Amino acid sequence: MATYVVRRVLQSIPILLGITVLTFLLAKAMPGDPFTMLLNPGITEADLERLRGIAGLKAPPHVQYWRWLVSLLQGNLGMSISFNQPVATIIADRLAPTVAIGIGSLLIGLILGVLFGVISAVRKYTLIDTVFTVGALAGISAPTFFMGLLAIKYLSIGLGWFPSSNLVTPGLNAPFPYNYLDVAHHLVLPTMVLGVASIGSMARYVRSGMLDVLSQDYVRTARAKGLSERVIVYRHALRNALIPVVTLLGLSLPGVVGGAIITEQVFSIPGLGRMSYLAVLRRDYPLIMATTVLFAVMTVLGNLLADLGYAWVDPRIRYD
Amino acid sequence: MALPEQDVREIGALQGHRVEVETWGRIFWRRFRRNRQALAGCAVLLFLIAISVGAPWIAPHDRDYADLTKIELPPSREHPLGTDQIGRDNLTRLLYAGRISLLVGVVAVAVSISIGTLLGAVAGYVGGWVDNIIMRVADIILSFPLLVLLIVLASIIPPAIPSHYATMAVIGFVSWPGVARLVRGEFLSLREREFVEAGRAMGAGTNRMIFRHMLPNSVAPLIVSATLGVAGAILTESALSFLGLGVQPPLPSWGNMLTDALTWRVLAMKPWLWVPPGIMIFVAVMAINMVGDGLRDALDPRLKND
Repeated sequence: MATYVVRRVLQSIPILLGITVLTFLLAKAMPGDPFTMLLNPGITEADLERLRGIAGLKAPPHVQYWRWLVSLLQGNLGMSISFNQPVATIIADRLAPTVAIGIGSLLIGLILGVLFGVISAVRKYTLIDTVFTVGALAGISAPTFFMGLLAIKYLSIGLGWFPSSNLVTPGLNAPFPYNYLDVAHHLVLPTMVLGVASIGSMARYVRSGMLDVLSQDYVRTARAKGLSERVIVYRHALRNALIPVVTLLGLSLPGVVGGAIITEQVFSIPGLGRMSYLAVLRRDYPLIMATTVLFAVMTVLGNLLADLGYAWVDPRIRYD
Repeated sequence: MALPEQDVREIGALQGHRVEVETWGRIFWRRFRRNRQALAGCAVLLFLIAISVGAPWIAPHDRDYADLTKIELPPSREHPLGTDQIGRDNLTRLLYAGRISLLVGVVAVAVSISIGTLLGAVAGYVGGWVDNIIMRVADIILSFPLLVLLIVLASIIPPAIPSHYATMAVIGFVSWPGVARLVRGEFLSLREREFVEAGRAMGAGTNRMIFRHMLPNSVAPLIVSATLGVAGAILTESALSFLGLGVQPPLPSWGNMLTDALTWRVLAMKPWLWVPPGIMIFVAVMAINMVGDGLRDALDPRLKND
């Protein structure tokens, strides 16, 4: 097992390196650079050249990449050009809202998705199954930005139940528990919107897994023994039907930190998704590199966890 | 495993029966027809295609004609979905947007299916270091944050290229790894089958083996993947265009018709401008997903006996 993990980590190194090289090339291939994107009409070409020199953008590309890689290995993500702050600080500042939304929506998806999926499978081909199946399909078919806009229009502007954007109420100086509640209140809508898509895909997964399992011999044996339907479904079948869900959870890991660019944009949440979008628009190379590396590491880690988790919940599978 | 049609006939004949064999297409149609959701999806999809293709004939106004005396009018008899910020008829633009959005979805998938099938087939059939390189590149692309990659690629493509072509290319190019994995998996299992061995023993070359013998045997999962892929591509296009990085106005797409809803005034006061295109995206994607699910249920060999 330990050797398996070590081997997988070693195997991922060339992929991660490939990602950094490709990101670097693509970022450089975009027209413009961080300083032309500042759009300061008073700036002269000589000033631009000087700024590029300071930021190290005048060195040949392979030298720039090498410098970036060396400092990354020393644990330094560099300075963001457009924010004028260390990249690590910017990411640390924006991690919390993104992770909160990511985990929240994943939990909504997990709980309601499993519930709907199980009910659908147990009552297969009934009206309730049709309702849930069509509902799940609707969940994965609805564009998140449209759901977000509808939520703002009707739940926020219309009914006034939730704030429409941002993370805190401006000018609110509430004491300890209330300031956190205020943030939570702001996070409800984006989390719900992302959760809907999550419920849809989870319910579809669980339904087909349950249908598979319910037709297996050991379920028939359990029925023949006279066990109650409840015990059969929740104690015997569900456990096995949830095995693929472990994989799905592992694969959702990069999404949690990758940030929902669109959702954060719609709700103006200052998170990682919005940051990575701005990084690209502003040609902020160090920030673009850091975003992709973070996401890629999470992807590799998520895949590894998915495989390990699979072996852990299903003893029939062994890795060596 | 089902026996080939001819074998079934011969065995039947030996036993003195006349055997009726259902062709593959018949089996497919019999199952697909029973699936009400898939049929409903088909009907909706055909309707959407019809009004999009027919847009030049059924649209009430000119696509880009801006009447600055009639800005942001609410729905009326003359403008059933009102007018936009510069006085263009919203219903007309919605119909034309369907052409662009559906076309981008289909062409993007055609691109990704072509690249993915070719690379996946080569990887699965040839194996060895070729397989290794192709699949590592696929891994790399799959480990990118998708939207960031799309945004970067969209800004690299020179502005001289029409934005809807650029969007098709970009979406198609980032979506091939999934297809390649699928085709490679099919090929790995087909490679062990007797007909492939027989073909090779008879001296068929690599090209012939891949395109004449193995690809036709992997068509079913590819059709399903392509159909569901179109739904995904339409969603991706709408998101990119919504952010202002996909299809560019004055060319309308369902996604870019929603961009203005990011301003509070339009969002709160002018719902006729952004709700209809949003509903169109949802309905189109839902219909295509229903058809895709129906195709999968009808084509999936694991469900043969129901």
